Amino acid sequence: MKKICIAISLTLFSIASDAQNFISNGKIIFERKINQWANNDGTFAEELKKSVPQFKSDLFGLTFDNDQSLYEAIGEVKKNLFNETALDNIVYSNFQKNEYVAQKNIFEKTYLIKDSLTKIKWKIKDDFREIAGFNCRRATAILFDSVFVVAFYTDEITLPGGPESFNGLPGTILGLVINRLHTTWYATKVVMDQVNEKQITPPKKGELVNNKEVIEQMGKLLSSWGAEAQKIQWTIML
Amino acid sequence: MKKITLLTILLYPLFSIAQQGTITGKVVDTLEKRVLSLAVVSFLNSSDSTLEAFTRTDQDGNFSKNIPAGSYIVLVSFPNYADFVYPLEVSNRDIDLKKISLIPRAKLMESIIITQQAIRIKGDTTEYMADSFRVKPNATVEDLLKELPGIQVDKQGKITAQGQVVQKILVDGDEFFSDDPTIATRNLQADAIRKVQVFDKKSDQSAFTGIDDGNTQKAINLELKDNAMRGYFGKLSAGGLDRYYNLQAMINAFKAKRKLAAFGITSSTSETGLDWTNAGNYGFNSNNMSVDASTGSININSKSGEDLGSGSYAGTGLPESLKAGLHYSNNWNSGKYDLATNYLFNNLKVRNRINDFSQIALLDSVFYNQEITELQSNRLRHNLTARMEIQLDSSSSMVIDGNGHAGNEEYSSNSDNFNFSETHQVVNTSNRMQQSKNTNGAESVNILYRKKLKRPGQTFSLNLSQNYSQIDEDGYLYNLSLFYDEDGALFSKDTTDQKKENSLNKQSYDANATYTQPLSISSFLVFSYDLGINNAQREQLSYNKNGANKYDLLVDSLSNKFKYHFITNTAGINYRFLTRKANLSFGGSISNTTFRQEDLFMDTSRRYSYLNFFPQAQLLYKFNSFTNINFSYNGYTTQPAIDQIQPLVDNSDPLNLLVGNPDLKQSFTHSAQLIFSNFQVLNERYLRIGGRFSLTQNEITTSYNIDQAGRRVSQYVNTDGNYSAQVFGVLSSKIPKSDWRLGTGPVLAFYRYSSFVNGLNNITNTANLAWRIKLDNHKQKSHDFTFVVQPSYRSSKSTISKVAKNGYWGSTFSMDGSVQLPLKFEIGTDFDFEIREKTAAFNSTNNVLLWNAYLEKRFLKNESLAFRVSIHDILDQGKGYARYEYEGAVQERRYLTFGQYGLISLTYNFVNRGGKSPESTGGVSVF
Repeated sequence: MKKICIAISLTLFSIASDAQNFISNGKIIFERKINQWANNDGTFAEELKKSVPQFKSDLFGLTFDNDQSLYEAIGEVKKNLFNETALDNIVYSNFQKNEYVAQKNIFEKTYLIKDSLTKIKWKIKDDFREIAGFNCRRATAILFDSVFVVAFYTDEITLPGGPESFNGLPGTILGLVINRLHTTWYATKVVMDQVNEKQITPPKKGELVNNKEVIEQMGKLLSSWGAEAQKIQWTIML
Repeated sequence: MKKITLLTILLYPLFSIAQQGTITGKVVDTLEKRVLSLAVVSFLNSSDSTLEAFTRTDQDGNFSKNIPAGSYIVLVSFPNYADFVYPLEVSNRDIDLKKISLIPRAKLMESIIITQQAIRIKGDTTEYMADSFRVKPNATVEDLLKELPGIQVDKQGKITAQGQVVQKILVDGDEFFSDDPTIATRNLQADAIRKVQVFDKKSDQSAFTGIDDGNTQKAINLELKDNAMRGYFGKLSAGGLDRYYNLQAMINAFKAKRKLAAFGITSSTSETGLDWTNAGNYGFNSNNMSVDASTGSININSKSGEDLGSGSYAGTGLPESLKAGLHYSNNWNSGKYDLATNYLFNNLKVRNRINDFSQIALLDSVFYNQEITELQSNRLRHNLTARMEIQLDSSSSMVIDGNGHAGNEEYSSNSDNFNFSETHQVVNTSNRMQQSKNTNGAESVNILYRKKLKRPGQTFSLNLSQNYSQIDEDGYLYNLSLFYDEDGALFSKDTTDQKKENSLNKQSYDANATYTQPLSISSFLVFSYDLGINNAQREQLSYNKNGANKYDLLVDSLSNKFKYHFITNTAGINYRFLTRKANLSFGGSISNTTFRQEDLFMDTSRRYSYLNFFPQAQLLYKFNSFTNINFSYNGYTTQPAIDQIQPLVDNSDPLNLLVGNPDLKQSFTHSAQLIFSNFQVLNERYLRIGGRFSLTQNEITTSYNIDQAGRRVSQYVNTDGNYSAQVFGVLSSKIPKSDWRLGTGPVLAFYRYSSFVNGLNNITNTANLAWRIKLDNHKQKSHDFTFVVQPSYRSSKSTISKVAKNGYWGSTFSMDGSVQLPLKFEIGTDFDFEIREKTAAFNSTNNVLLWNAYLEKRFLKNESLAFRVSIHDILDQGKGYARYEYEGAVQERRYLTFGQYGLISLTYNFVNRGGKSPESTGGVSVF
């Protein structure tokens, strides 16, 4: 099996180098920005605007080869003002096996979530914009029945993945916008390097659970927390 | 484990063989003759463009993918190549798309290839992607519409889409000076438009209930681009020479949902705007009052004055117009409240000289009639409309429409009429002078409440409306008729010299409730009930002169005062069946109309009561999203109008008198229509073929007696066997391997009309056959040519006519072209050549060649300033000429129209997009 994979990736690579610069190996640097001023009203918001910058920015790397990827923070993730849950995830995705393994720090606990890749119903649009030098097509989806997501993906990188556990588009997601969570991810740099397979290994730390179990556990906990909890729950599920 | 997976993969297609197909193909670049590997082939659900599946091509450019049955859009993309889009219906069969050729984007930019997604059909809506149709810089929406297959725009700006006249232009769904669509089409720039949507606009209630109430109009919605939604843009244009002038200004300031627009136009040229939908048809000269049985509304049909009576300019006579308007629309509370308001001021002066020559053929004799009329009209009107839509909660909404206008009209005419016998001897002559002035006003309010109930498809709606209108008119009539005997000696003289005072006021109220009950997921029953109350009061007073030259002697026989009361009760039931492929509905309604006519002078009253039936059936079958067939049947009774039963005495034309017929019965009309349409996106081919047939039993037609002195006395009678049939087709296609497009198709119409002349049944059979061929060739920044040839044959034969053959050939040739010259110069010319065959009745040929040309020079970086010199009717051949045929009579009309004139004009298109364009933020505002 592995041999076949390698064979395919080699053929793909050779074609890519020959005709069009299709990328099937490398590392993408994403900048994640969270708006810290959002969702706060009145005098508190005014105080907030004086004391903290509007955007909290962190860097993440997506290392990938032809059929797997690893998404993890570069350096330490800065403290967030309100929510610290699931903001420094390590996500390993395997598109061949249709599964992912994510290590998430949820409150005081570390979980190791292992499940099949999230199926997202993408709508393909006719809009384009350039991100990190790649021409990206716009796609939209609605997650958890209510969260509107805009993604920009490029055909030129063959990996059907992106930041966190986002997947399922005919190319790699280089831009991601979730208004409801006041968060954006944009690729700032794409490194076209041969990637050593050892660089892409699933995380191992944490209590092994599947997605449904996490939702159940969190659901019980967060049900009494009010509206803000909904957002935390969504963040966990990304 | 692995083996099992493999086995499942192998077996999967076998198990589900009835529900999926394998799609294969090869992606290549034909221009560079190479295969494209790793190209993305995506399959999008055509209903909502969600991604169903995707794959990439292999080393040889081949792909193969299993996808479930359904209708899809195949999207093939490759970096730096234009997307390839193809509609695909997948059933249980495998499909080989064979070779798919992509075109490098760089190539695409320089050529004029229309992108594949140019046209989409969504249900009844046809959507054109504006950017894929090339127009020159600063082109107007009208220029854009001319490019769209299936749409035609005539010289006056009237738009025909898919064979039907477009009655409304909306901008982003809002009414935008709807009374005159040319304000939008001639003043908005084409590059502000993202999409042009052509659809059948249903009434608000019918759009909600899904039940066709017959009130559909062809409409066009212009969807603006995001970057047109900010900043301001507009147009300033000034032109003139000699006594002709044309000044236009328009500004649009749009900011997201808030749209503000203002315009002013004053013109004495053929550029004068249209006024299509103005229903107020005023003027009391021998008018007719009728009641529309389906709604119980009262209509005033003005017979004389024609297009002048309504104040709209329809291309005859010389107009001088001034128009100005304001538009404001906005929405609040994230779309909960939506308001659109329009104010329009309109002043139109028209003078005309009409020369009618008619031949009236009876079985034993022929008459000739000539009438020369000089007329002038001046109409002024203020019009205000407002529409508010309120989303009350997630299941209910309310729409409030208000409409009001006030104005006045002046009209004067002077006509000389001559009747000749078969030997061209004068039988009588008359000279008629008319003058009238009126003030008019109207107001209406309509409230629609819609509520979705618990079960899906279960709905309730209530519509309440109220109308009021008032018109007061003063006028004078002078008529002198002279009658001659066979030897040409004067034997009788008739003089009328009267003052007329007329007034009419109408009030109407209507309530309509509709309830939809779902029977299953796909079938529904719809119940409706309507109550209409109409009251009207009409006064017509005629005064003769007394000895002191004052008009104060009331003429009893010509004066009257009537009151009308109408009550209409209508109940209806309809069954609807909806599936993905078929849409069926049938049902009908039954209506009782009672009306009372009170003669306030004679103190008498009459009462009539009619029961009317309106059966209907409709079937729409979709073979796929690009091919469908639509059949509809409508039946309706038409009750006689009051004036047909009991006309008001009217002496405004003493040679034409009307008497009533109390024995008139209702007529019943069957009308059926069948239309097939098909789009081939890839071939850029559009086909629409259809036919309409309508047959009327007991049709109310006229019977008239003409005496030897040429006086005509008419009465309405019932007759059977009248029909009309129409067959039409439109094929619009790109000619392969060329830059040419061909549009062609026939319009064949046949009519049978029965009437009575001097007691004899006169059946007139008319055939109108025409075939249109249009060729056009556009190359951006180079040239633009359109050629249209339309040969036609018209024949009209009536049983009592002495003229044996009355058919003639005609043909129009028209050409419209422009060529871009160096240094931003442009030269353009167009001509219309109209050829009409001589006939026994029309013995002059009257071929007209109307030729116009212009030279334009554009300035500034984005060519936004244009200087133009144009000449209208270079050969000075402009002849207003028309031919008519009716009931054994043929008529030629000559009227005043524009002759040769020149115009020097300067046009400036300005755009200020204000702030950052949304592209730079990717169209997504994050925070």
